[in-house]
Amino acid sequence: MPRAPSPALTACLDALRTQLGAAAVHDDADSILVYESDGSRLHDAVPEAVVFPRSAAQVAQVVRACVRHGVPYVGRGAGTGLSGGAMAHDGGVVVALNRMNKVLRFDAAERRIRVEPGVRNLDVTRHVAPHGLYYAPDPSSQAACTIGGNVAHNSGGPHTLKDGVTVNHLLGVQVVTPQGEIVEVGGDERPGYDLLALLAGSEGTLGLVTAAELKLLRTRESVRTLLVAYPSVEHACEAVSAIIGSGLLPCALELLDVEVVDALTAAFGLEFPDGAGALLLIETDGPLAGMKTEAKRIEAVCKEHGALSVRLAADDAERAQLWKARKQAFGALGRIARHYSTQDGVIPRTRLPEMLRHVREIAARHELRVANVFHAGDGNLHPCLLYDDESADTTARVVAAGQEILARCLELGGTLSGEHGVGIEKREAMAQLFDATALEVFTNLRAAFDPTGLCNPGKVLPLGRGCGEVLAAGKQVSS
Amino acid sequence: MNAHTPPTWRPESVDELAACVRDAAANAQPVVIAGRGTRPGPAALAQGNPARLALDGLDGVLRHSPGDLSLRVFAGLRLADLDALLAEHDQWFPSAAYRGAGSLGGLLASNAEGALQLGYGRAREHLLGASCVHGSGEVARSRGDVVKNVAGYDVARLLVGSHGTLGAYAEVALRVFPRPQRSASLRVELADLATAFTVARHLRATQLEPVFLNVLAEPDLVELVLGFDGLKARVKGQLKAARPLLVPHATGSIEVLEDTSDHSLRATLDDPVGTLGRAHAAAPRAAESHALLHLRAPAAVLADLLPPALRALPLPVHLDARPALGSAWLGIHADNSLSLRDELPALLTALRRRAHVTVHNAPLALRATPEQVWGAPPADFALLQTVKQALDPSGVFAAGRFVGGL
Ligand SMILES: Cc1cc2nc3c(=O)[nH]c(=O)nc-3n(C[C@H](O)[C@H](O)[C@H](O)COP(=O)(O)OP(=O)(O)OC[C@H]3O[C@@H](n4cnc5c(N)ncnc54)[C@H](O)[C@@H]3O)c2cc1C
Repeated sequence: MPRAPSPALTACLDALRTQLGAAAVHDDADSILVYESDGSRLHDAVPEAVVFPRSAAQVAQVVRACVRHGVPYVGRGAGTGLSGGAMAHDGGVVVALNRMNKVLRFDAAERRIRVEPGVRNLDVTRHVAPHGLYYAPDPSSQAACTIGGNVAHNSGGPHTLKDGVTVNHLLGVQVVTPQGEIVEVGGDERPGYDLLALLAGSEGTLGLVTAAELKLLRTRESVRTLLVAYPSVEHACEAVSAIIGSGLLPCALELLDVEVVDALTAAFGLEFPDGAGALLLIETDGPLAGMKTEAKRIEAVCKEHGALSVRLAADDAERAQLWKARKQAFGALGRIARHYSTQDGVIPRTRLPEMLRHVREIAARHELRVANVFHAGDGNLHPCLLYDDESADTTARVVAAGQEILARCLELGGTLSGEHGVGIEKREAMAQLFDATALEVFTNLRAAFDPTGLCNPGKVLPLGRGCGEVLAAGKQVSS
Repeated sequence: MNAHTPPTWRPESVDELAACVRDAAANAQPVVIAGRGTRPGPAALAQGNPARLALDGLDGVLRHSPGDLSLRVFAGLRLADLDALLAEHDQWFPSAAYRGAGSLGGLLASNAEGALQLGYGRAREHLLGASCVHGSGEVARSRGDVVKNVAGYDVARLLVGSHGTLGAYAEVALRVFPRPQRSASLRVELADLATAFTVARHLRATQLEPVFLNVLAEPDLVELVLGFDGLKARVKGQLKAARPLLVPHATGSIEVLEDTSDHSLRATLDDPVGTLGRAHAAAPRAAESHALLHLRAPAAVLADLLPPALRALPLPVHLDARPALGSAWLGIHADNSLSLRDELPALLTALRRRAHVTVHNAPLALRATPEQVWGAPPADFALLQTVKQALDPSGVFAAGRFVGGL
């Protein structure tokens, strides 16, 4: 619903047109509509304006103008986030950082690269691959999502089981603080607190990332990929725990349940052994020396746990073929249902079989179909609730089932989100995960960084805490 | 300054710890946190007359779930006890494997650089969550017990490297790992430091995956050591592949270290503070005649900076450099404190032009102020102050001993 621009917003945009040029500031209905949602679709909100800064200095100008005029702002990369983090729910300005997409510095010998926040994840690896290097965190959305968004969500991917998530690969960042200062935040080579860890996963609430220095890994000498079929998810889950417990550390351990297997067969005609109730995609990498032994041991453990079949990719083409099942899983679901909503809870890995039973039971109770394709090695679930109509009743059931699933994750000693973030979607559930003291620490940190409470308000912390209190603190500051 | 000796507190539960901090805050009594007191760490002279908060009473395991390869323990737990506990399940936490008497909380707060950081990362990489007591004296949890988690701010990691200035770790949750099937290492003597850095660089460019790769030097000896962990076949294969890369440069034979000799090498590398400190323990008045510096700079800078700097220094130096980590430890010894006091300032100035240098030990006059110990405040110092203000607003912890007087 279009609202009349407030005088404060108008003044803010006028100032930005002067500073950044009119072409960098958009507030017409067509332009802003593009920014109404992110990858999750359940939390739409149209911003009042979108600005496109081209440099850290311009980002700082935007932040200062917003602060001066009391206009909320939210950073945005590619908008692939799944928790409603990049939307302007309180109105205000979307700061689109995707045009800041240059590689700033690359040092192959030291294995580090400095990029602007709008560089897409996959483009980092593309840039450094000719030097035998790669950037490890690989969200499934890597062809689209940006490094700025990855830092904000501390994103991971199928290969983070061995290599870690974004925070494990950050060497430094440049941020524009909510005070409008440009600051080079250092890593552990300088004495100080681990600010990189604080900023990674802070969902754009403590400042806007305007550059990131990333650690690169050397492309490994050899890779082995296996696709293993099991009669049931229980068998597959046991195999996952057995592989990890045996001292082998594959780089990926992805599980697809029978609904996904059926969808893949129906949508793309992929073929799997009869009676396959779950698939496990396993990848291991490292020096060639010992690789054969390692692959054999993985295969042996898989068979000990009731594998129906084990396919070992013979070459890169076959490897790509095996990954197809994993990579096309969401696409296949899209063919059997018009919509799906994914949760992202994490539980201790040994509770996976139990948790998957709960997921099925919860979905059935809400009369929803559910399919699971997830990072089993990390215990990071992605139950996809499938639905066809967007009626209020269906949406309510999807939301309710999602909340129950997350509540179960917490009961089993887990957490709300492994990689998609809290955003707006799970902010109220934070009060189930953390007690008042913990939330107060988060609130104090946020208020210290952002005294005016204008930097991505309404995200991460439950309302009444966080946002409300930060705003109250801000009013005191400005009055 | 107050003449009476400051109190030492030794809480035996998290509640007692929180109560100590609340008392301290109420009485404006500054506090210095000492885990188990094994490695006091670099620090400028304290302001005021701080109380000592010893955390060795905060001991024990809260939860160990071997199947999930994770555990939650009290932060005062001795690292050797952690290692022994995990060994029962054929598991380990690489950063604790050789550390002995120190505490887990101390390891994290000091961001200690272990022997195997190249292979396994810092302890911080495997920190799942924590409960900490901040300046208000309340216990706050962050993150959790599972291996992937982005809910809430990562305060558990924020305290890594805080040297006790933001609060005390009370409980810590860790991801642990199966113990490697096999470990072994290689030791080779080389002609000089420059050669050693070059060979290290070449090794890094190969497909080998050493878990450590150190350039060690002392008067009249330069060595390179590197180690491998993993499946037997993999360790064997890498030892074999590394050998021909070392042969052309070796001035003697290439030694293969296994079992106890491999273990003791790793133990010395794991504790550069202790190892380089002991190197001249026999020297009289050790504190005034010994300096220990930690440098951080990219490998290329270390290779460029260290050989000439050490050549120019007329004092015996022991070096443990980890070029692939961008780190180097320097132990410098003198027959009397005068020559060290004369020589050290110029060396520090030269090194600080291109590297971050922390002074772990030196004659007192050279490590009294934060600037002397930690160097100039970093570019993000204002944000460090912001964090300090949020978590320890009344300044209970550490009494001005950390960088920039935090
Ligand atoms: C099909 C699909 C698959 C996915 N798979 C994965 C996966 O495997 N693993 C995973 O972790 N995630 C996954 N995601 C989620 C999403 O892609 C990631 O969270 C990604 O990091 C978001 O990046 P983005 O550039 O799209 O950020 P946006 O969606 O634009 O923004 C996300 C958040 O980051 C903030 N932000 C963006 N840029 C900046 C900046 N420069 N400075 C400060 N804050 C900023 C925003 O304010 C917002 O809070 C998937 C999403 C989709 C749609």
